[in-house]
Amino acid sequence: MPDEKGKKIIIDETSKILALDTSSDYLSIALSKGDKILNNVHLEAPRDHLAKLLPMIDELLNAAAVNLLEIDVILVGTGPGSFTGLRIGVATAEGLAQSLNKNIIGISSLDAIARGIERDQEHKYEGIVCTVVDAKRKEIYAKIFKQGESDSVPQVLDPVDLGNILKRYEERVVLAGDGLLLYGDLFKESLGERAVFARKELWYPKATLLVGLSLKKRATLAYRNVRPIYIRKSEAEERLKRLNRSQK
Amino acid sequence: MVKILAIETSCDETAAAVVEDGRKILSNVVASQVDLHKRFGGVVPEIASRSHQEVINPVIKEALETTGLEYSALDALAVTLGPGLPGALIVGVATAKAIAYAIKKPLIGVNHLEGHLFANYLQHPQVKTPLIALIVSGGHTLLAYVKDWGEYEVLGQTLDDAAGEAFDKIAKFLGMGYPGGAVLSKMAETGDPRAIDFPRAMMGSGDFNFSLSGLKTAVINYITKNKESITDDDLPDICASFEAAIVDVQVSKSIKAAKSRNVGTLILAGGVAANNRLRSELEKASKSSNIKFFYPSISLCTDNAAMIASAAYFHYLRKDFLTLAVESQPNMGL
Ligand SMILES: [Zn+2]
Repeated sequence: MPDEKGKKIIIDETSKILALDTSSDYLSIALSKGDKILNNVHLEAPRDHLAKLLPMIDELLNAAAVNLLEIDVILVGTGPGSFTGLRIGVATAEGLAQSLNKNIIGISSLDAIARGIERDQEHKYEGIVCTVVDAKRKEIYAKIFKQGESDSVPQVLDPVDLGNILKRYEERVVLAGDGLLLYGDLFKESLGERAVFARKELWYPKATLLVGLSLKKRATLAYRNVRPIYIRKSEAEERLKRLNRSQK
Repeated sequence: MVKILAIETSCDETAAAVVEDGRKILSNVVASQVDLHKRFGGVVPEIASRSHQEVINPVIKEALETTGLEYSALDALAVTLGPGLPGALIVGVATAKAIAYAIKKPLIGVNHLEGHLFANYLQHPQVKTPLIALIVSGGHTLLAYVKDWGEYEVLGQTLDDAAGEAFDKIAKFLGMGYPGGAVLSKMAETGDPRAIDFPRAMMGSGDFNFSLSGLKTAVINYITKNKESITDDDLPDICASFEAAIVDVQVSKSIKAAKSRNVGTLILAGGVAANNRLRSELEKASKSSNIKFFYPSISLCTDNAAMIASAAYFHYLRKDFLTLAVESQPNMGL
């Protein structure tokens, strides 16, 4: 018996998938068979994730006449994003998976944003993609993608520092995320003509895109105990670290 | 027979338990986070939330596997809705909702304070309502009139610090680490509780409220003022006198509450119920006033999910079930 943590599951056209992302102000849920989306919802619901997530999942399943027991894989967006939103999404996905013995896979919500840009039907975006998700405290969650792939881990950065990093590239930089509301001008200034803002519909992670990402990889490591991507430590830990450093 | 699986994540213990008919504990699992919070000298909410998320599913699994039951054998799921840390409660509530939905069982919401009362119900079949309950913990100091299980009236509570909080703060001030309340009480055992006359705040206030910040300040001032002359040998006396000041007020008000409502039963609950002096003084005072006095064993005094499952049994009998839209209630009152 392979260790459960390293168990490989194959996701293909026949897999029934329930995907959800609550890392942003949006509540995003999708139900699919392979890459065929059976039903989905993507609505703005700030601070309402806990109340709405399960009733909406129930509604989607009912409307598509899919029984929860038929689901093969649960996908959950693991952020980075709102700590509270992430906990609601991951706890819900894990609760469902644990009690029904389903496979569960965590996928970065930033990957979903990047895939939305890569796959956009309305507009052909050219250049590298960088997510700019508002991380509060004057910082943003950033991850850089080239042709839909990323070789870096998500980072929490000062927008000015990110601007300087992006300046080093020669291509256009397609930016997406609610960080544009606050720092859009700043990126325009540092990147000039090379800054391209994705259309606003693409700023928030969509559950339908998690489905596409899971299929793209086809086989993924499935594991229990999916962890949110926080990046930041708690403020108390950061304070303690600063204190220890200053005492050295 | 009604089997309920309960989940508790209101503060810094991740807990799950299965209880049958409100009394028979089939499993009771508690994962304490105390070591994670130690170096910060108090519970850090964000660390608590993250830790709950990491261990909650293994804890639930263990609670169920210990009983040898499958989910399908359960009659309901129960969860602490509040009061407690917002982020910590959310983890428990989201998890409980998901499991209840997945296994198609009713979901019951329990008030954490009500849960503490049921630690007594769990252990002492002879406890009968109406009664007076004193709940003392790191987060609460409260006197309630329990007309019947499920019918509560808060008579009074602390206006500032909770008793457990005061213990831990003074212990920290005395360099006993965190959480040091239990260390302080141990130290107090060999001291003279009449050595220093610390204030019994609100002892004669005529109501059932408490105030502990004045006592805390008095102890800190006393130590600061006598810094030169205080040696380690004086510590037991200081601890004992501080403890006695807290205990005296709680005992006096608890007995007064029982008399004012004309009830013959007093129960003690919450983490500080583990305090020896509080137990023995309440026992003494109850005896001389002809009041029956009960308290739970230590493992049920501190936060656990068995007490939540026990309280949930009464909600189950009343068919008091939640919808999937329920949210946690960090400021929930009893
Ligand atoms: Zn408690």
